[in-house]
Amino acid sequence: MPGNPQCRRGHATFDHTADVGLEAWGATSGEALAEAGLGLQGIMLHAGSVRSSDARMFRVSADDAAALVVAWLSELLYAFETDGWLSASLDVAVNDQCRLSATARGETFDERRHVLGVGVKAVSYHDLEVRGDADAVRIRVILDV
Amino acid sequence: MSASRRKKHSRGRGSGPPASGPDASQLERLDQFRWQIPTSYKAGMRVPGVIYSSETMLPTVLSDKPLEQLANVSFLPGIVGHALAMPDVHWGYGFPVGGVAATDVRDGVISPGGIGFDINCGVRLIRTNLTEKELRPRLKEALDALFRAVPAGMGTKGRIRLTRKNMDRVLRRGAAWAVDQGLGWPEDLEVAEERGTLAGADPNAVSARAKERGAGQLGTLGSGNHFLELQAVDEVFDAPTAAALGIEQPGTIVVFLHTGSRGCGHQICQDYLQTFAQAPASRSIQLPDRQLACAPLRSPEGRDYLAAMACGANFAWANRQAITHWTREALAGVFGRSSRALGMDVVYDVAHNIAKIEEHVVDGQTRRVCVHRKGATRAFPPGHPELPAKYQDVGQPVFIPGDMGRASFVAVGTEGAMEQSFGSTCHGAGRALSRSAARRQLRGVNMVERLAAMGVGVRARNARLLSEEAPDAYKNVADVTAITHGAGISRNVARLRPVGVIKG
Repeated sequence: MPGNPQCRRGHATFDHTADVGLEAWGATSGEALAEAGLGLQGIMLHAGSVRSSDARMFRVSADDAAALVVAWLSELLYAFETDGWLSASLDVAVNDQCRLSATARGETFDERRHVLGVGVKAVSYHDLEVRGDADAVRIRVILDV
Repeated sequence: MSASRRKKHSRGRGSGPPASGPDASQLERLDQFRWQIPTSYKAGMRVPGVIYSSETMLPTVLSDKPLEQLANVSFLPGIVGHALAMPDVHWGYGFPVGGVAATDVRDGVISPGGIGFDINCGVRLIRTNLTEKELRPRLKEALDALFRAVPAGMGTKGRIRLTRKNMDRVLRRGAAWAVDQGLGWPEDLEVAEERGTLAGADPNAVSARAKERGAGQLGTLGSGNHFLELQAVDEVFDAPTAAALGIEQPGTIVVFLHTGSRGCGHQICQDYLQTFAQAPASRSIQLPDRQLACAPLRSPEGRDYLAAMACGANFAWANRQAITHWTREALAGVFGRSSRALGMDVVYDVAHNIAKIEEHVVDGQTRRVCVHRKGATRAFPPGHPELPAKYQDVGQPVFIPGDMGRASFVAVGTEGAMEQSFGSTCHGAGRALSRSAARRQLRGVNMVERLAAMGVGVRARNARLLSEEAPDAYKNVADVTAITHGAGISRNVARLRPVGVIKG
């Protein structure tokens, strides 16, 4: 599913000179945010599948829809960097455009099975876009690596 | 900071700038190495932008977006002189990477995007008495020992985990804390910017999250473009200066370390972008890019960020200090001689993502300014009071990493840098290809074998990621340093050649 813009939901990376651009889309902002989270993880996790052996809840709020993207991805980055949390699936519900609650199924990093990719340092506001219409929401964000 | 104009081809703001940045016809050429973006390019620019480049490099710069970003930087309230782009400039986020901007401390702002997420990302050079001849037969062993001693790659945990109390000490005292713990020699502190401890650090200005992200990462290299390299002095351009730095003999092995403040600094920057987005003093400032978010230096938020940024900078200095210690231990083990006997003195330690309060002459007046250097290196001249006694005659050492196949450069600061660029010069080669373009171009190439054929040994956590950092992905650092040397903002002293590389 990821990578094919024809699909209802998905994510893909795009070129940025020194960093990595990430595009995510879905029928709702919840779906697009879930795809963005999986896309972020796809950059950090080079290989190895993630098991749904554990669950974790996230609650994030921000001033607006764009800031919510930054806050949400930063939350996942923090969970990975401090606890090694990896998500196999994300279920995201958005309220009022600037609050979300999410259930993640996944596990913690296991170096015998998981190969790490490029470390993401942070989530940038530069050229950040959240575009939504009646049947699709599209997010573009640049990650500092 | 003044420069005479030779040519003017400004279209003015009437035609409206393209989203991708100015084209060649909108730049004014100032001299052989400098081009200017006039304030008429875009409504809201407070000062002109100045780009250091050459006729051959300029087209590459223009094809990317950094000059639009440079024009945006000149919107910052209180900016003085010019917004500057070093020859290695490339598209960043908010500020271009390779950008320098100075803001007046009285009415100016500080912008976390003008420092970068990796606060005090920087370079440390350690010399040795080893020659390439002695190293070559033991290279494999030396790289294995370094790879074990210095954790590299994303998510790697360091050899020490800091308690909350010790974390606060690191944030306050930087490299000095590490030396007190036995991670280095007291004289290491003499040869670091700010002696490895930036004043004004207040751990209370740093979030619990930033401390938590950093707690397990002291003494780790990280991933991306960070590295630890064994290099050989390849060519000396200025023997007396090279002698003052202890690197005058071609074939001498040096250790070149490039890393920063890890998750701790990244989180500090992220936290303050959010704080600034919500602060009333910041909200009233109109900027063309949200990533340029800033706060007046004199506002509570601005002062808090400065105190937090100093903590991030100190974490980075403690990090490079710990890695220095483990590098010494590793090489001492391999060669069966103490690190003292190996002559492993720190040459110097520079920060290339940082803001500093400094005095500079602007339009004939001495002013206190906040110099933002994002992907730019301080380059203070001989006689500057900030320099240690041993470098008073030669100027501040500057280290410019190239790519892992070709070369890196050692230079020194100059009066020219004080006159033109707020005492700043370039910081690296600058990327020529994006990460994915490098992967596409090098698909199927075994980078470890290819580098081995070039005489460079590599140890990497993930060898498949090496193509993203391949020599092909970078501009030639020799072209970049030819410009900084030619323009007189730093003076080349020696070229170094990679022999062994440790990567994340």
